[in-house]
Amino acid sequence: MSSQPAVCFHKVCFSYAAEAVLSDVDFDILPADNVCVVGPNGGGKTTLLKLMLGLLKPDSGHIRVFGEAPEKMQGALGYVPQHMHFDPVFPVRAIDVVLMGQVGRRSFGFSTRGDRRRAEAALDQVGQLAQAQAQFAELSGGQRQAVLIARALVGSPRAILLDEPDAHIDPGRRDKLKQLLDYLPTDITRIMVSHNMDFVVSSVEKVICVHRHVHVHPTSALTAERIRNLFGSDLRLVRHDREHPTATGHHHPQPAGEPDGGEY
Amino acid sequence: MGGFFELLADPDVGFLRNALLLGLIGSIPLGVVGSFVVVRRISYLAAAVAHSALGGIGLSLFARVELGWDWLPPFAGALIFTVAAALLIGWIAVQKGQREDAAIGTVWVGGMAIGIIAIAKTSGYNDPMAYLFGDILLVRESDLWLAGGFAILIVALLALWHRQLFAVLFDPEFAAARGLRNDPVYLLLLVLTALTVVTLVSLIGVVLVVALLTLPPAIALARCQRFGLVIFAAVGINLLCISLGLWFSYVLDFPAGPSIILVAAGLYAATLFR
Repeated sequence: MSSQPAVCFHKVCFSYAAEAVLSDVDFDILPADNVCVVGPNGGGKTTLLKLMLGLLKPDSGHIRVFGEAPEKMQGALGYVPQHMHFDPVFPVRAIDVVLMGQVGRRSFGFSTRGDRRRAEAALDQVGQLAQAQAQFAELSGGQRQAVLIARALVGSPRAILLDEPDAHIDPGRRDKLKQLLDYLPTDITRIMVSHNMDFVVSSVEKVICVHRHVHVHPTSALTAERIRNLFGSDLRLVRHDREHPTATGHHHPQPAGEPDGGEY
Repeated sequence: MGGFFELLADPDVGFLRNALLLGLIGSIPLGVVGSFVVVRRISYLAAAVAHSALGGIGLSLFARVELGWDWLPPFAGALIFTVAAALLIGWIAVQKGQREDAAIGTVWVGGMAIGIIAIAKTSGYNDPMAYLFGDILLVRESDLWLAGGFAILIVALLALWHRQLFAVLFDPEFAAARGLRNDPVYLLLLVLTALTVVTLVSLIGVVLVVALLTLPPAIALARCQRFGLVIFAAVGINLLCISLGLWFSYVLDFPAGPSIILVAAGLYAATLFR
């Protein structure tokens, strides 16, 4: 079990209608890896996650999650979606949202005391136990994101997949979320999509760059120039707390341009 | 008022007692299923399913009278039509890119048109009004057994599936990532809506039954923050509306179905203005 990769993509191609989103994607993520997926908007980051989750099927190639087809491993992955279009008057408390993280195809009847205890423990883990009885819609963006992370963690997943967890958080609250992500359990695989390199947490070991094609870099090899090549030129690199060894290896194709650039 | 309770207790006069009992039994599936319908905001879809029942009622009346199919009670026709309508609308709704609203409209009016034509072509006097708005005299004792059976079936199915259904309604994408099958769970809700409608159709009719499916949960949602409480409150509000409505209809000599609906509408209006 430990020898096989957590996620394995082999010659994966995917397109929406006629538009190719990913082509010839090959990479492995090892168990307990802490990986960040970066790339321009529309470059295929979210698609990559959805393929891992079995929510999308590749046009060709194959994907294995812990050695199995993704749809067989859905219980083993904790997912934190980016856009949750929830109904603000949906009657649901924070604890109810976390409880849903334990519901699977074979969940019949009522939740057990054990389910509730685990849900409370997960809320505690993300520092939101005090909000357990609060209406989900009434929480702040950061609190909601923490609750969604608790929902992903509550089923004791072997991997957690986060899609732009910082997307809807105001800048003042980002540090708290970042701290939370830094303290995710280290024995599970952590895969985070981010548009915002500034947000890439300090413990990330590998960066997967997605722009139709996929390239994997150890974080240590990630230079300003590479990022500029990937995203276009109008960028600011904010984090510089690592050494940057000389760049070797491939060059990314120059993207057509990233209109909103973002802060890096 | 005394007359109302005397009439209820009179062993020789069953219609009022049957109507009240049917309403009390029906309150349970109405409140439970209605709560899911309202939080998912598919009242219009439930309305289409309910209205389509008229097609089944009309055709079974026609078959009984014109073809001699005495074994086919109107509720059976309503059951077949509403379940088929629920599955058809649900199937169209889950096909991405289809015009769901047009399909809902077609099922809605198509079912009613079939019903009205079938009733018109059935010999003897049949008043479509009775099926549209309910007729307290249509409620028979056998309906009570049927309603009881349906109520138990509906509550049992939801007791088993409510967590999956709730997860799918709240966040379909996350539910799918957990391996839940969104479409069958959604279709289950629509079929349960169909069964609920059939349970109550003789008392309040195909047009009005939607009001009792949707108004009590909407009233409950304005006050309760927990979904479990919404369900219990919706059942309670249904009990209140049906009992009060029947009493008003007796005292004021109004038709029963519309009286019940006006109580529900009045309560809903009160929650808006308080």
